[in-house]
Amino acid sequence: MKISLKQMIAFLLLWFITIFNTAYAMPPLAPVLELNTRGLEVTAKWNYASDATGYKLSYAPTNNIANVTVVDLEEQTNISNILQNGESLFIAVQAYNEYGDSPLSNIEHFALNKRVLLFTEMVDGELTEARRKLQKAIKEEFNSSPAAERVNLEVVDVPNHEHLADVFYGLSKTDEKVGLRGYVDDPDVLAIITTSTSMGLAISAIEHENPPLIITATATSEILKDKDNVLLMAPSNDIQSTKIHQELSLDAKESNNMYKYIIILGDNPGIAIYSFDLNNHLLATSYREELSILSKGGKNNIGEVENFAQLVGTFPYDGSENSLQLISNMITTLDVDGAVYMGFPEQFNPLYNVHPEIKWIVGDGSYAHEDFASGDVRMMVFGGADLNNIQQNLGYDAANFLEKVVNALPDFELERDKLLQEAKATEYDGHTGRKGMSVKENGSYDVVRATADKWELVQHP
Amino acid sequence: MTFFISQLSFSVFAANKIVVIGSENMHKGLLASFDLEHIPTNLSYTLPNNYIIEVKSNTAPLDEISQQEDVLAIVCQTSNECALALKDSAAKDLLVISATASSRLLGDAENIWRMAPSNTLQAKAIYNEIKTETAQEPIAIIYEPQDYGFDLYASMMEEVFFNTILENDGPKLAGAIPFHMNVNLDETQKSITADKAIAALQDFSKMGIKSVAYFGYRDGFNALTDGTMGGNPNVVNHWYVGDGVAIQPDEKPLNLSVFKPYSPNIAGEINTPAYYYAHDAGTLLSKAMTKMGTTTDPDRSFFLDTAKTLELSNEETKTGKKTFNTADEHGVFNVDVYDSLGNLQTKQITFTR
Repeated sequence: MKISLKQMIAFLLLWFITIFNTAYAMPPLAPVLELNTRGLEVTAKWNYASDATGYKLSYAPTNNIANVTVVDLEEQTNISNILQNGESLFIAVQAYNEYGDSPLSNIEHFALNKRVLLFTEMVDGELTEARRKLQKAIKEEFNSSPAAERVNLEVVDVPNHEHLADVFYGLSKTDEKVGLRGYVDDPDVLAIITTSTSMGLAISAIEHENPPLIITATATSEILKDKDNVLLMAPSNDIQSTKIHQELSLDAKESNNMYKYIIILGDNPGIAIYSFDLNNHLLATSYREELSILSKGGKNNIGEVENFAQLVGTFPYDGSENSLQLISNMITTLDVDGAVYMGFPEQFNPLYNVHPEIKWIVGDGSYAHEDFASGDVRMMVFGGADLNNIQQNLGYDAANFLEKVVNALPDFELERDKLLQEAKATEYDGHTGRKGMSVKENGSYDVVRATADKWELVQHP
Repeated sequence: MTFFISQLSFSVFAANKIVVIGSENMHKGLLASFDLEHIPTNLSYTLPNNYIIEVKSNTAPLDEISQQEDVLAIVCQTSNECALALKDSAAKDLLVISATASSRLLGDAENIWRMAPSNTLQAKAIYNEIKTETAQEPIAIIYEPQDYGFDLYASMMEEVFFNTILENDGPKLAGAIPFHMNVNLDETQKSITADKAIAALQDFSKMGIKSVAYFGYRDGFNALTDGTMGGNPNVVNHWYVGDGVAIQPDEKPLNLSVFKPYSPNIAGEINTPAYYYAHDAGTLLSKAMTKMGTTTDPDRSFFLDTAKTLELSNEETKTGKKTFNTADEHGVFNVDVYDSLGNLQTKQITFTR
């Protein structure tokens, strides 16, 4: 049978229409879903299908996956929404046409857990009274602010440095341990508040391409000031050492002879960073003065021999009986007039008790004035601070600063880099002075003297 | 025209004097680098192109000398002497070469070329040697609170600090005492005399502290350890001293480790750091002079800038390659270890940054 060209064309046309109609008479293929979060903004998008007439979005909370909600988005191929912090959903899409729905796309999941960590270091398994006060103040202040509606405050009590490393870096799954994601790589951890110098240093030493803001509530170490992502709430050791040196110089002026002092350094790992850093600055300040005096052969500008505060010894102290005995002997041997103590407040009393007759200056810390009422003990305190509420006020300042930074950011910018950027541009007048990463002197120090009733502000004429 | 030429001539040689402040061994080393023999009575030596070397004792005041317009460069020996270059009263537009000075402060200056490694490396070397020898036993430090002693003490404290915070197993510090005998103060201001320092050493000893590091100069060390001078040779079990204490072999019947910058001990040469580092200083000056020979406008700041661009290779030097500010990349030290019978063992240790 011969087929004409016309018949052939008509046949092919009929075949094409038949095949085409058969293919179209099916639901579309499953789309491919892509999910992105930016701050509290979640964006879902999927590929366009030519045979689809619309799309349906299905989602269910992760804690109740049976409770699925389906929304018809018609021809939309993406959707963005600002959600509540804490929202955690499974999500999928389907395409549809007149022949039915496609299978579900890939199922994606997100959990918004924007938060700030409050790391508090424990001593012998307990929070010290001072750190408890500090932690309480930060929690109360931050959680009562609007910022807490968008960012959670997560409190982590850290028993020791090993545990700090575990929670920060995470744990790989082993036979003994379950796996644990580390905070360092969790982008939802926007900032970290620390309550000790060593902890601030440990965390800030971690190199990360997207580092979180670190606020150290009470740390004074100058080393921290050099870190690009660290904000010190407390005035630094450079400022403290200058103030201590001023006090020593005034003591020397009142003295009829050379004023001989020693420095006692806390030597335990938990305090050594603070004490060595403060010592380093005091040494530099004292030495600058001594060099200037040496260059003039010990004479002042009018050629007179002048008494000055002279360092006659530096001794580490770990609270042991041996180190106590050595320091006690040295105070006698070197005929010491005064001592500067930079250590754990809890370890100070035995030292004071062996030599209550000399003048003592102690670095910032929590000391009980009534224990030293009969002696001459002065303490460095953050300038202008309410003495009974130093820890609270530092906590309030840390929380308020953070609150201010969080509030300045729109929901979709609640990210590490944006928060750090905002923190760098923020200054805040706190209870304990002006705070900010570009503020050169974020507070000052006052000197108080122990009496039976209280710590009394020392005012020099 | 004649006036113009003489003025130009004056300009070229306005600053042509190299002043060398230091010990005789240092003078010898620097002169040897120019193939000149040291003659004790001769304080001035003429070089080609009208350059002059003038040698002076350690007490010559560097800051005053630097203000003399005909001085092109100064070579100094110790930290205390070289530190005068940092004072406001010192000119900053001329080259100062510190031969064996180790104070870290010198590294901050724009016009000081250090030949020897700084106290940062010396402290590392001493600390690690003590760690090797004494394990975890605590150590005491006696230091003279001047540029050299204080700086070495502060460097040592950094070592102790890192050991403490990293909870390493190095020796801890038992205590540190300044020693004022030789510092430039009125006698009434010298609170820690030799008697007091010896009493403090006895306190350390009573508590079982056997090792003491001494960062100061020889006179002070002798006052503490020489019985004929009122010192007490028995109060310390083992002394570790920095390069400021120049002890001769068999001089001290003490357990003693002396840390010195590297000396290559070449036959026919004087085996002291002062000689070799001064020799290298001379090599640098020689290279700078050669380079200056082709320039048309030499003055001391230009000489300084020229010197700063130079490099000294291993082959050119006695103590290792150097550029401006890089003497700290390699810290090679000789350690002379004496025992109480006067026996000597020498070893070499190296610490890099």
